[in-house]
Amino acid sequence: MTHGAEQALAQLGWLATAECAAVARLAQPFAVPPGAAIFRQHDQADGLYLIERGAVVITGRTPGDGHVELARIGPGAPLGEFCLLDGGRRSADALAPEGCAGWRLDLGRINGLAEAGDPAALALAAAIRAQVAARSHDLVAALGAPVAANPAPVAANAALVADFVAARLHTFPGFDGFTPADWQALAAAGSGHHHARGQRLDGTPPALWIVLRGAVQWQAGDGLQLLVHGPGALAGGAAFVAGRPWPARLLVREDAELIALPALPDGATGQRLARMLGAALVRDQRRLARVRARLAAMAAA
Amino acid sequence: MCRMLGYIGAPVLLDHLVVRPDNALLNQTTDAQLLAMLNLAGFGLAAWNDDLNDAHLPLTFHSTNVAVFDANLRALAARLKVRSLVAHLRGVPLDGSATINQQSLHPFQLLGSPLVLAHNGDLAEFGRMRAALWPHIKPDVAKAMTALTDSAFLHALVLSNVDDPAGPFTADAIFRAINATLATIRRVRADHGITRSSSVNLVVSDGRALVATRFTFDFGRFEKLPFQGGIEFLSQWFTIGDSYGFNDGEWKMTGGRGAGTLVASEPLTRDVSTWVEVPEYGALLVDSGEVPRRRITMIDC
Repeated sequence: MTHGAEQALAQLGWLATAECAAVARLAQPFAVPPGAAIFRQHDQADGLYLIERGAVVITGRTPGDGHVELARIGPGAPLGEFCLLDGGRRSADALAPEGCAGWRLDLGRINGLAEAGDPAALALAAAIRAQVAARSHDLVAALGAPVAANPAPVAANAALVADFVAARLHTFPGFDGFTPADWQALAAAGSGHHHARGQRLDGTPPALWIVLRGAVQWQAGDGLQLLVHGPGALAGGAAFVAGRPWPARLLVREDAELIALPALPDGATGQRLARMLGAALVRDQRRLARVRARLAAMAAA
Repeated sequence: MCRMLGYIGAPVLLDHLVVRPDNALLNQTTDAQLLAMLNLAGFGLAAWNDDLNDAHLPLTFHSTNVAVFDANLRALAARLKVRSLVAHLRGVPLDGSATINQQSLHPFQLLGSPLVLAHNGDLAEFGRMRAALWPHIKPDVAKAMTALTDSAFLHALVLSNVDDPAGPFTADAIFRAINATLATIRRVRADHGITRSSSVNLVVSDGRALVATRFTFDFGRFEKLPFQGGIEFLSQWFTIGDSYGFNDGEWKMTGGRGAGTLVASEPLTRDVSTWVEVPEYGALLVDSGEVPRRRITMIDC
């Protein structure tokens, strides 16, 4: 029965053959009748769907209870994959006007494997992070005027000591489970920064920024503010994952202390950060989608 | 830290805004979804209804009762229809440092002016700034003040920055007064070396025009733990439509191009699908009317 799921996963091109086979063993078939919803916006997520037959219309709700069509997908496409990174609620309606069928990968089972360090589950999470990063890039490009990439790397200008990093971050969600070994690994992998308001941070190659104090801001070329990140936040994750700049500039909004990571640390610390990064990417994507909804609502009104 | 809402639009039963929705303002007394604090220090509202005597002035209600238990408020809410509303649930640190009295309850109103103000946030080290702020308050306004809290001063400063407190006002005029107020506070903070993160989310209205800000001085710059209300940029959400009510099994605005605007610290329903955020460092400006004028403006301070 899972052969079809394995084929569907292989078609995505996200995983190696052995990883496809391992993940496919968790797949369950699903089918919805014509006109039914696979899920609704705000539903608690239950997993990733792989569409094998039929088409799905994805719509989002807007202020005034309007609906905007966000995408149409067909056989071979994944649906609802972001939930594997944050386990949150659905951010759109997924409707099957003609009915559809395929495979579902259960959120709880996949996440359980990822927590246990299963290589196939971790590879799936990495692939989905890349998908979210690509989607965010496209959304940012559509929201505001593009910004030319900043070719200059951002020079480190502050010492980075594990105790200092721990003191700044240990209460923030995700970091509250870090051990002394994690703080050491984080300090060893990153560089310290202390920048004043206005400093541009989106250098090449893109780094993953961790805000210790102060705030940073993503801004489109026309000045549209896209995202603001404060203490404990991971910033620049989409560009970092994609390995290419966003079409926006990352600026220091309030005098800030930061860590720049050129790559995730090895081992358990890296895995912890990867999970946090996945959730941060989805959170940012949802915020960007609300910026789009706000712009649409204000234009319509 | 507090919770608040503002509404301008077709007449709606007060009950439908502050009592009935699953995340109604009263429910946020003990169970706010986006703020890890109790809001036990009282409730206040300013409501406009064209059938009231002196209809340009709001009907006000302030009570230091714990709002969710306030039977008088519930009785009022079940009978009163409002075309405009500013309502506020007060939350203060649970360490006994705050004074709980009627004079300190929002929304503030002075001098027979229709312009009221509700504040969500706090001005760090306000006691050090108070004396330096007095010269910026007009004598008539200062004479009428009955409270010495940071929020009371914000209201007094806004009133001191409008041409005539008696109004009428446009959203632009209200916004200019808010911007001037924030600029004054920015200077006084600098003079006193105050750099701690301080949120100034406001809802200011005269019943015809409304301005809702989402602003924080020095966001992310904290000196020590714990942080009052958390470390996220304090939220301010809004939704728009023709009418607000219980439709298709949920409380929501319907009719995207409509005359109604509802703004709140957090959505009044756990399902946030039809709500969007006022941008960080931004403001929503609304001039009411059959075809309302709504726009987002960034705060330049």
